[in-house]
Amino acid sequence: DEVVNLPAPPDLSVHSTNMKHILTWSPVTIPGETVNYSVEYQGEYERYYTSSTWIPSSWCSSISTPECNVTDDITATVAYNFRVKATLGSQSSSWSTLKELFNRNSTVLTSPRMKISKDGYHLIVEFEDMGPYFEFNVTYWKKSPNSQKELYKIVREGGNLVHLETMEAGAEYCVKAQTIVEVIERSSTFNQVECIRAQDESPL
Amino acid sequence: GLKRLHLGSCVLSMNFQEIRNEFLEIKGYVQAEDENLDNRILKSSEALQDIKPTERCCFFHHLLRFYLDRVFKNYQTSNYHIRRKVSSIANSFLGIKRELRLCHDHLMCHCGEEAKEKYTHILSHFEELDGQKAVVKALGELDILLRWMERT
Amino acid sequence: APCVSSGLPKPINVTFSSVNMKNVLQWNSPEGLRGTDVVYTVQYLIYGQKRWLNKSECRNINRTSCDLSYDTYDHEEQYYGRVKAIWGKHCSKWAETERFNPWLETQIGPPVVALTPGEKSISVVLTAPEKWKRNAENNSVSMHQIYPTLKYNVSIYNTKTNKKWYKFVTNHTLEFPQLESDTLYCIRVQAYVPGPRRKAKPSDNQCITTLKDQTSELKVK
Repeated sequence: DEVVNLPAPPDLSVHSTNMKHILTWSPVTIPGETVNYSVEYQGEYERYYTSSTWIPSSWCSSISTPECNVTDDITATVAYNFRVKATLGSQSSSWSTLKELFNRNSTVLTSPRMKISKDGYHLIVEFEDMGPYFEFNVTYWKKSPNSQKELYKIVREGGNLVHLETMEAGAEYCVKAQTIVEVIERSSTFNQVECIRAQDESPL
Repeated sequence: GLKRLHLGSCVLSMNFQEIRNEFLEIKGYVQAEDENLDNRILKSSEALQDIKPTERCCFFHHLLRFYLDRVFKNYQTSNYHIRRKVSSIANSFLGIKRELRLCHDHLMCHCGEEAKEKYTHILSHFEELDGQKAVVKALGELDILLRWMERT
Repeated sequence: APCVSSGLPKPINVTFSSVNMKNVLQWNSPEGLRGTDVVYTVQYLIYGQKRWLNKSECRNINRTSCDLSYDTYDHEEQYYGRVKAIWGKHCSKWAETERFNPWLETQIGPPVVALTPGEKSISVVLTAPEKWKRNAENNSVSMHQIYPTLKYNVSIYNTKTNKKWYKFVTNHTLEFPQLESDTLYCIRVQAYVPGPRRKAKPSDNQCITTLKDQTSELKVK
């Protein structure tokens, strides 16, 4: 192999949304060559208890794209560090690491996509399946001029049509929801309010 | 979801589900490495939930440090999947230890004779076995520890 | 006379099958001995205790399962089971299970579901599944006592609108009000314990028709 000066991959950072964590970096380009990358991680435990050992990432040993899904590596609410090196044939760059450690409690939580429907007098709600960490705090009320008593229910998982309330004939009900992620003790903002009207009294 | 751990006046909330799911991924592998079926490190006689509430926090703090200082870091495996899961559990225990420090700082973690005595028993069960065998057995008994924690 | 441990192949796939703490050791006959008059002998061990114990009811049996529920009744302990094949004077080595943790690994059976139709409603009464009993006279232990966070996932399917939806409840009685009269609904209930991936068996689908609307019946007469 012709000896090439292989720089360490720059600009390492973690982008995290809804508990999906993606590590990215700027590519190392060598004209006419394909550069591969390897990713390793360490949690707080590795830094303080095992003299800073590193663990190969679950999915990114010798990949060619400058991006790695590290969701399966980050499974505790502590500060993690990542390092990446470039390899070309038998040559390897030095490791580059995160400028700032990453903790999953900084993930961006978006408000949930929700669909409300009815089966006769029954108000039904359905959420997208966002994975095992997510619960949904659903707030709902009957629209009426004088009182707007809000009720709420916790829906434990997405992907199912869940019964919310038995509606009064002809009344309009409104619903809004936010996600709750207990492991990081945070929740998203509420989504857009949606309303639906119950069927009228069935004709005799 | 989150569960409350009642250690006398010290109450922690911790995510059992995630830790237990991680343990279930290594249970078969690690317990199969343990050939000494006729003894146990975490014996029922030293169960966390049977200790006086006032000394539970101290006893649990000892157990946590035992796993952090002597078990997770000394477990050797060439299997990266297992290593990742052990790392995940260890880092989760670190999060619990941080919460426990708050109780410590608020003087809720009194260490009395019972806690010291029972922890000494556990340590002696551990030290009766030789190095890696003891580590493997202790790691394989995490479901016993998790069950103790749940029953507090 | 004790058998001679020879090259007889061991039983394979030795596991515990457990529903509501009824813990049955099961295995497959070893390669090459299927169809022969091979018999089996079972032992079990309480993890941490010194000796393997014989299961007398499962000595020299020709079936490939052995109910160890009585011997593994304490669901806070952990256990091993093992079995060996015996053919004439020859016997195999022992084949062992993984460490079995009943509390963590038992499958939650379905509740008993009683439905009562109304004109525009269906009432549902659930009876929690029970832990396996050592003998019939013993008091029942509900799986709800063992798993306080036990919940029910109740699904109802409206055969007319072809819509199915769910209710997650913890109590044992619930009602589906405001339904359509004279309509066939199918209900299925699954008891589950939030937490590690614990298997759960749903109840069979039970279908029932809401009563005819009495007022419109009177009008017609």
